[in-house]
Amino acid sequence: MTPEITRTTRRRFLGRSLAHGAALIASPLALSACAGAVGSSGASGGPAGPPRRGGHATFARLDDAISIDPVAVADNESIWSVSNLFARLYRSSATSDGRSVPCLATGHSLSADRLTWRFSLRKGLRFSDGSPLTADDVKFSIDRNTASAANGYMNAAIASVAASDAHTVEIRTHYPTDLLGVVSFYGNGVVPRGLGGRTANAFFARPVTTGPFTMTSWAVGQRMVLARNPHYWQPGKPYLDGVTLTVVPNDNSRMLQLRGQQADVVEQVPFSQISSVKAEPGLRVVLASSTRLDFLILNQRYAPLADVDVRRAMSAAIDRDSIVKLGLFGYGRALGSMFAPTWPDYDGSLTPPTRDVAVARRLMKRSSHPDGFRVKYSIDTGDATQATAAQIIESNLSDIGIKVAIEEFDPNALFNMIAQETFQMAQTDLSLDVMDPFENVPYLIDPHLSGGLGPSADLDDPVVLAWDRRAQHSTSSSAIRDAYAHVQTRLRQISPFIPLYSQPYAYGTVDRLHGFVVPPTGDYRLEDAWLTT
Amino acid sequence: MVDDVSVATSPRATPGNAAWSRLGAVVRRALQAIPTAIGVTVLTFLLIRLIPGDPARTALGPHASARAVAALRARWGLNQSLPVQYWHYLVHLAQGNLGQSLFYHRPATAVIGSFVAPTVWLIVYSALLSVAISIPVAAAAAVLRGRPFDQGVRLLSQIALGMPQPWLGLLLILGFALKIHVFPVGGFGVGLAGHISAMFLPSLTIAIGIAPILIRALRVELLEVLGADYVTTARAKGLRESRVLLRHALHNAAIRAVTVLGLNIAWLVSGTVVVELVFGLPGLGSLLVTSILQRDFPLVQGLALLFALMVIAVNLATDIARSVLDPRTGLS
Repeated sequence: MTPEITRTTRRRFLGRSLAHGAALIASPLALSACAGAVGSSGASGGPAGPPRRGGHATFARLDDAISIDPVAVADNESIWSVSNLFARLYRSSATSDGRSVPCLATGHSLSADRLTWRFSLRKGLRFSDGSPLTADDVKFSIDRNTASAANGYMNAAIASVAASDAHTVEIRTHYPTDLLGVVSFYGNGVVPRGLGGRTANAFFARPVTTGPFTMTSWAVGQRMVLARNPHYWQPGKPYLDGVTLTVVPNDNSRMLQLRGQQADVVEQVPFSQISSVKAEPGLRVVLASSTRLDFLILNQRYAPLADVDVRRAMSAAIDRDSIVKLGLFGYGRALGSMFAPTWPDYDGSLTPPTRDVAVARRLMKRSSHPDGFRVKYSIDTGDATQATAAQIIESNLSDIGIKVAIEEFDPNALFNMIAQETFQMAQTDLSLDVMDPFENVPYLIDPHLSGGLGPSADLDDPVVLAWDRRAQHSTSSSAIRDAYAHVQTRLRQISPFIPLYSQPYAYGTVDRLHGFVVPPTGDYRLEDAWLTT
Repeated sequence: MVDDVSVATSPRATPGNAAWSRLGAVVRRALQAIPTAIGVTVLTFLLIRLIPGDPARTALGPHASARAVAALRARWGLNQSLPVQYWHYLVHLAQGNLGQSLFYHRPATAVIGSFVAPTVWLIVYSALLSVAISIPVAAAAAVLRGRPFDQGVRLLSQIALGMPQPWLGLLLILGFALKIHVFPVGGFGVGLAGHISAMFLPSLTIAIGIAPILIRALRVELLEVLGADYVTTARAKGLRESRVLLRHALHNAAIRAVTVLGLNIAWLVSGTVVVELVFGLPGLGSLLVTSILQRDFPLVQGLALLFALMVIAVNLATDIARSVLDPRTGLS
């Protein structure tokens, strides 16, 4: 035993102890090589060339979809998943031309009385399981959406849907109206008649789809795996064999996954990081025009905000350019209309008001609150751009005697406060899912629409309602444009909402991913994406 | 001590009896946990409903009519009084049913179950790593008391304690995942090797936060033990230094360290959310955040209850471990 003592010195013991600890810590290094889960950051985009078929892309999103049932979804992640699973008769153009273009239909005709729309289906359409897609399936899908609680509002103009033959769908409307936006709507995505005899839960757990992809597995809240629909109507598309939609809510973590090439696409690159991502070899930033507009909603039940001069003074005092520069790092656009520039029938003559404190003070002086007032300003706690905008607005309004108290709420609480009219001033946003302002204008101005912003702002303006009605009850594009121009002008005059800015969709991609297309409606076209090796 | 002596001298104090006694204490502790769990259900049930936000409106979106929203609230039972809702919740809970997730349309137990693995991995792995770091470092620091190594360990412990976990996690990702590409940036990985590799950095992030506390506790205890008479006797008998340290000193010093580790693991159970978010892990913490934001009442209630039970279980396991290491300390 004594020799043992001389051999194992204290120093040697310490060395061994540390070595054993280090070995335990280091063992995953070896295992990580076996796992093969580590991407190389050295990959760079080769020459694009013609689209290549094959490969599997990973797409890191902020959140998971809640549902993939077209008639039940209301959040963007679900809507954009649905758009890649269930095709519609028409869909929004991928460019910013504000049009709807044929998808499952080849085109349409309109009856002389402008009440019946006839859509011709493409020949040989099939569901992802190979079964034929007929007009009966389209009728079932549109009727199902009309009856739905979440999305039925878009089909309000539809009186009836009929399958006049296997390849023709006739939709009759209550009044003459432009129906192309309606048939482009995600809620009218086509599913098999009767959901193939299954319950909704069973069907959407293993759906039969009409879009470019079908869903092979879904670990809710974690990942959704999409595989190519072999019977998609566009020959050769999609190019990718599959896509995994993962959930990475943290902005920094998502960006790191892109930098580590663990994700091929990431959603919502923070504006503060766009320049650094752009500068990094092997990465790209896709900045796509969006239909989103961010604005202030003013609750006219709060006495000072019931005065139109106060509201206009506030609009005149706000420095939108600074918000775009500091909040959006220059990647947005100041707004002067309650239509974003990408919306159909946007009135470009309504330029954003330049901050003019003298005008604002004059308006305040002649208002019912010439000495100013205090107002609570509610914003979304997780939105960095909103936080910056709020600080700028707080400073701007103090110049005209309005003392702003910024209050932050989680999105759900803020949404609830606006719906229940328990706010004074709040920042919120709107975007279009189809290229038709009808989706949002009644939501903005209808005083009787439950959950709408009209009741929240206590807005009841017969002039704007009349112009909106005229737009809805027309099939003439020029008449619609004229009516919506009046809607925008009137909203600017009475200022129940103060438009602030529009912002683009910002995606980061690895440069071996090509063809990632994001239309202004946000429903990215994964069918066009492809990977180089 | 009198009790210990009486137990030790009692003819009934056989190993079998000691095991039964310990089992009885475990059962008593488990029964004592029931009021705690019920308290957690009451608090969670009330608190989640106090936050403004209507899950029915969230689910149906802004365009749904008031009638549709009211109908959905009725279908979910949210239009009933709070006592009635709570009673229904308790009745279902007694049957092992946490209810149906309002948004995922699946049983809450199934949804929660699919998120358990990453969190359990995180807790166990970080506990192992913190022990792997702490024992050799604390032993070295105790043996080299006052020397540069010891001073360095104390300084680094202070620094490690002050490092915010998200920042540390991002640093580790930048270093080990992006610079030298030995670990994935995030995610849970696939297969056993994939999990071990993917969970290393998140677990190390947590371990670096726990290790300084463990090292400090272990070092202090070791210093005390190394000066004890029985250690001097052991050395005088000619035992190897390694044997003295491992068999005698560490064994006794570990008792306090186990308690410290247990307390930290109990804290970890509900504190993994930050690390899960940084590493994009689909764990219980991430699910809790999402569920609160969506106002998915059954999921929030189920998760809070699960966290409470896990904390109780970890505390109990710690006490059991301590009583095994030192039979003089009981479980009661």
